[in-house]
Amino acid sequence: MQVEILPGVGNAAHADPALRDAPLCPENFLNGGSQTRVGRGMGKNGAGRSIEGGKGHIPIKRDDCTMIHLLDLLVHPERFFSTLEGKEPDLKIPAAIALAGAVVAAVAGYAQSSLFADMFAEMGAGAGMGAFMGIMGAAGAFLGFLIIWWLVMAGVFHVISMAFKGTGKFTRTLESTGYGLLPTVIGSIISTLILFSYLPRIAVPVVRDLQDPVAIQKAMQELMLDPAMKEFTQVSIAISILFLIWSANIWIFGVRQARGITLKHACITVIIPVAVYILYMVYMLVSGIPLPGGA
Amino acid sequence: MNRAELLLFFIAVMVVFLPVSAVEQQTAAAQVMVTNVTLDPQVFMVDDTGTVTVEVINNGAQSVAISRVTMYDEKIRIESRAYDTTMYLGAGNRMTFTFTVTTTVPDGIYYPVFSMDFRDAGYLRYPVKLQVQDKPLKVSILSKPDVFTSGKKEQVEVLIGNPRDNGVSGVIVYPMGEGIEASPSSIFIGMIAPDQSQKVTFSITPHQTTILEIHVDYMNGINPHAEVIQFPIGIGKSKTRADPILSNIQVEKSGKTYSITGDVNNAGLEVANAVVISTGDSVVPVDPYRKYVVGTLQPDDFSAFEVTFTAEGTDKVPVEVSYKDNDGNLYTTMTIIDIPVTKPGAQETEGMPLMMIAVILVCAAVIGGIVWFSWRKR
Repeated sequence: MQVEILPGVGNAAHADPALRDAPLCPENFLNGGSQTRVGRGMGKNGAGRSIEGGKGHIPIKRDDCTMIHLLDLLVHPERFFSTLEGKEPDLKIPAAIALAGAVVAAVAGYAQSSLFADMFAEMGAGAGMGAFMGIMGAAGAFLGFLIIWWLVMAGVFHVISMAFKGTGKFTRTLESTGYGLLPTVIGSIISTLILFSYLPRIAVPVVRDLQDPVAIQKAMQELMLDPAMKEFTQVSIAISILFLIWSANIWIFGVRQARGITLKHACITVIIPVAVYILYMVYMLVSGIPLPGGA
Repeated sequence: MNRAELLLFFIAVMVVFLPVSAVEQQTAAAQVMVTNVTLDPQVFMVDDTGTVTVEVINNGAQSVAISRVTMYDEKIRIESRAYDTTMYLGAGNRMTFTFTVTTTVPDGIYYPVFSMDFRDAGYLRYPVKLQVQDKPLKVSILSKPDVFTSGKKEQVEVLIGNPRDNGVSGVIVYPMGEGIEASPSSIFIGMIAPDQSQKVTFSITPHQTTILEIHVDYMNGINPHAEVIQFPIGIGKSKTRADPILSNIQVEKSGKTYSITGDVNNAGLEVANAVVISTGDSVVPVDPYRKYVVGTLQPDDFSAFEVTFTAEGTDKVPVEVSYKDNDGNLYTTMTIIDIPVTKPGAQETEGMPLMMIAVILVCAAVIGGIVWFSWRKR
């Protein structure tokens, strides 16, 4: 196999343990010269192939490279974020991840809103009410995911890391947080699929008087206490917590890279809000407070 | 003295002594008097048959020969024959004569004549006072329920009064009617003195709308008489019966199980025994409170209750309250309670929780492995 040895860059890649096994992609090279990859990393990942022409060079498509990146993000977050050092923050992929998560959340929100549509089905404006609630549920879940899971979470990481004299732009934190949402998106997809399996089993109380807040509240409570609903809530919360832990693992390395703080401080920065959220979910689950199962 | 002389002497003696004997007979008959008259019955009713007993006494020192004793009247019919046999009423002796009479006459006072013919001494005439009074016994209902309930025993008080001038005997009271049970079936009173009354109570259990008859049979002397009063028995809801009412109803749903709690009040005037609360057929009762036994509820008393059930596709639940009166008759009242409608969910698939647990465990294992791997690689 014929390879090119790039001055400087190749050495740097070898010097950084995080890049030692990194896949060979254009983004892995900071100087943007002709890209190739040498050494062990090629053989291990099977991806370190030349993308330049020449005899013996195997071309690598850009999509394949993105997939490799994402796999690295999930499995080797430290190595993934190390490749971003020195580069200008690019929010395109994080935004795409967050948007994907928001879309999944919107689908789940719309599906859950169908339950409320059934709840008000016997009222005069049942059909309109159902559509309205579906749209509102989807829009709320879409915006909620984007705002809470990306913007607010990034803001929280940024603020907490200030205590550890963290440096770096907010966009860099936003970028890292967005990347870290990928497991959460996967968890959302799984939860949404599970939601569709549970929806037919959920018995929905019917409200006949929209002017009676007590009846509505009671119906909501009954819906949340439905055995299938409760079971789905438990399952979805468990899955959410698991994938949130996975996201937190990515965020730790992302925040460390974005804010230039130690790994210990990054752990503290990430674990505090994540732990608070997990404890809140567990508390709601254990205490029996009605909580609609969500992604 | 020859035979002719002896005959003349005898005739002369007879002529001398015969007037003296007739005078003695009349004197002796004058000592006979009526001492007592007994009527049975004392006061007759129209068409009654009875007896008139006349007692006579001979207060004289000589016996009196009686040739005929009879009684007669233009209106009162004398059923018995006259005493036509000659008899002697000894000095100081008493003798009674009884005549059977029938009063086929209207109300009034009559004087049939007791007549005693003496031999050779005229006769004795004695008018006997005989009263005919057409006043039957009066039967009154003292108390009865306004409305009877089918199968429910109710008390009916009856008063029997005797407005007559004589007592009546053998008084028996008994109720009759189609579809009626009476307890006791009859009551024997016996004698009711004049201007007296007697109260009797019957327990009447009707099973249909009917006419209740109160019969009073009695005897005036040897004559049977009967009185009947009627009153209608309308089957309906008793005004005093127990009336269980449900209030303070709370419907709660836990999973598929509904729970209805509330109070049951006895708003009636009678005791409700063995009160049991259950749900109707349109829902499925489930544990722990398929039925709720309240027990006895006094008037104005109340008790809490709870029933649990499952219901799908309905928004109304019939709650049945059953109770018994003091006679053991079972009554039920139904109350419809609105429950929140539930759109029924599909049947649960067995093994679903296990599959979910497996999914969670797999996710946990994969994520745990990835996290461990990502830190190990450092």
